Amino acid sequence: MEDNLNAVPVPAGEAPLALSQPQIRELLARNWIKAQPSLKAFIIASTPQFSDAEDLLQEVAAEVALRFDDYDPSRPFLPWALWVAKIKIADFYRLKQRRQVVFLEESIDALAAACVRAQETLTEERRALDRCLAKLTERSRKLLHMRYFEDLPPQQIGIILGMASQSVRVSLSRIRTALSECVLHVIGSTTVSDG
Amino acid sequence: MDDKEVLELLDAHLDHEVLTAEQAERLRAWLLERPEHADQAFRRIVVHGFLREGLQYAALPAPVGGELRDEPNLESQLLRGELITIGVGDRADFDKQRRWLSLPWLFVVSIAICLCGAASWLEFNAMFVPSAPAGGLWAYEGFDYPPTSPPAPLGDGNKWPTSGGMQGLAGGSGWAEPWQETAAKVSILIADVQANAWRASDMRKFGPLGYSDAQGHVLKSMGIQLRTAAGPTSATSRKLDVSAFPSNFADEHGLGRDGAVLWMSFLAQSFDGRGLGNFSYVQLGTDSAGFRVGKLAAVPSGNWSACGTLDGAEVNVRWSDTPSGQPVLIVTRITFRPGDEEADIWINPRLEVEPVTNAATLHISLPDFRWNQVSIRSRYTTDFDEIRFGGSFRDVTPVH
Repeated sequence: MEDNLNAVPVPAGEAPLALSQPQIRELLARNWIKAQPSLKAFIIASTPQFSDAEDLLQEVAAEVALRFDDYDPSRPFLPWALWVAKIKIADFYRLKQRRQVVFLEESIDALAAACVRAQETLTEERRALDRCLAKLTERSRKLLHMRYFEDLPPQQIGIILGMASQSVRVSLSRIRTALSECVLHVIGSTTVSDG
Repeated sequence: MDDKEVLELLDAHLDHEVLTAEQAERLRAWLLERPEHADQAFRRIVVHGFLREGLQYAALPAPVGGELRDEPNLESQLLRGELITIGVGDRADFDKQRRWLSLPWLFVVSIAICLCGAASWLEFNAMFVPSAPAGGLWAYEGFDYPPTSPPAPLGDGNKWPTSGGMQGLAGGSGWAEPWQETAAKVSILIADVQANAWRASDMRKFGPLGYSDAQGHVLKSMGIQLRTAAGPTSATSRKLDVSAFPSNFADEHGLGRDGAVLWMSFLAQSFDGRGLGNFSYVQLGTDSAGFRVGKLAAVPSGNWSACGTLDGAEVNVRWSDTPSGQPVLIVTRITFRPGDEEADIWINPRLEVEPVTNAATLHISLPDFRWNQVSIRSRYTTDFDEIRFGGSFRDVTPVH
């Protein structure tokens, strides 16, 4: 794991592009806007507590801005930003004196690679998800509202609805599966016709 | 172990459940087995993130029919695994959409739209624009209500009020409904900015929001101001009374008929200038199509900025050199046109005469949109005051 974190992306071996300060600021902003949804999803995988993930995203943003002079603009931004994110995630767990989520320790690079692969379609997926959400049943909508708007864990939702927390967990999982399939359905039919 | 079981484990992790060592190992092994598995897991996490992002402010989009099927009894559905299914109608529907996305067609259609848009705009100009725009102050909110009592505890976002706030308050003019709070935390009303400094470094403690230009003209403003929540998140919204606007300002879809020109102004100051994921902005319209001005999450500097919204994303983001920790008067002129709209934003303009377009701090194109609602959304405590909508610069910047 440490090896991965220290594996700074290899410099291009070319003289960095000479950019003025306003150009650098603009480049940072444009790159950040594009990469932010992917980075956020990556961070959520590591720290599912939303408030932690949102704080961590800000930490990553600050670090990205601080280190931006080191970024080689001739290379893709997202892998470099993911490298920064991995460092901040490790710092986060170290400071909290918690162990990083066990399954992530060795698979974080696989998820980072998936993050890069998914980047180009995220906007389309977001749009598709909005459409799929409008097709949910009333009961599913209620569960999602409690989980995401009220930020309640399944156990608490179970207490409120008089259900076993396991049932809530399975329900949420099935809703997400249905939504994921619906999103793929939308995206997939678009891609197929792109032929 | 099949994909479904693994994804349930991942969901459990996303729902804050602690996985056993054996479950974590199964998940790890599955993730590393094939890149497709990592893709599948990442997409699952993306859905989770999008749901959080989309639902933390408000309700789900209105249902459009039972294509994801409902059943009356949740427990029995779970036993049968039939909670939700996708309707067969989707495929044909999607295929229909897809045909429009074929690239040559897209190019031709885009050119046609541009030409038609330009033609209709020229035609529109010739027919309607010479007539004098209707002036007047159409809507106003000075937040002149009693301060929130008791005041929010200082320095700890976890203790920020989660109810009350602006909910149900109905002052000002030109509004159709009272304010609504739709997020986990609420905006509050502040009278004494010094006593309510959030922390020692709070830049708002030096005085209430107000503005005077370099020539000594002073904007009319009164003391009480709105303060958005510290920590995630507040969303305070209110619908406008369309009838308070000139009749030729709206069409059947809402305010902003092609040819309408809207002036808007407000005072604002954030806790400090920090950016990078923090936001606090005024939004006209919806996440699907609208306009945002304020402190935007996508702007690393945290400076006052503006953008359009389109399909849930911030588009055409522009930022100024003015840090959001500084108090500002932001004046916006939106010209509603056939096709995309145009916005000019002046930060701290001179108040004696209408500023020229060339002097605008920001100039952006916005997606075509109609609106009838104002929202103030925030994830970084920020003060707003004196929101005005009118037909001219003078209408929205009255001076003493």
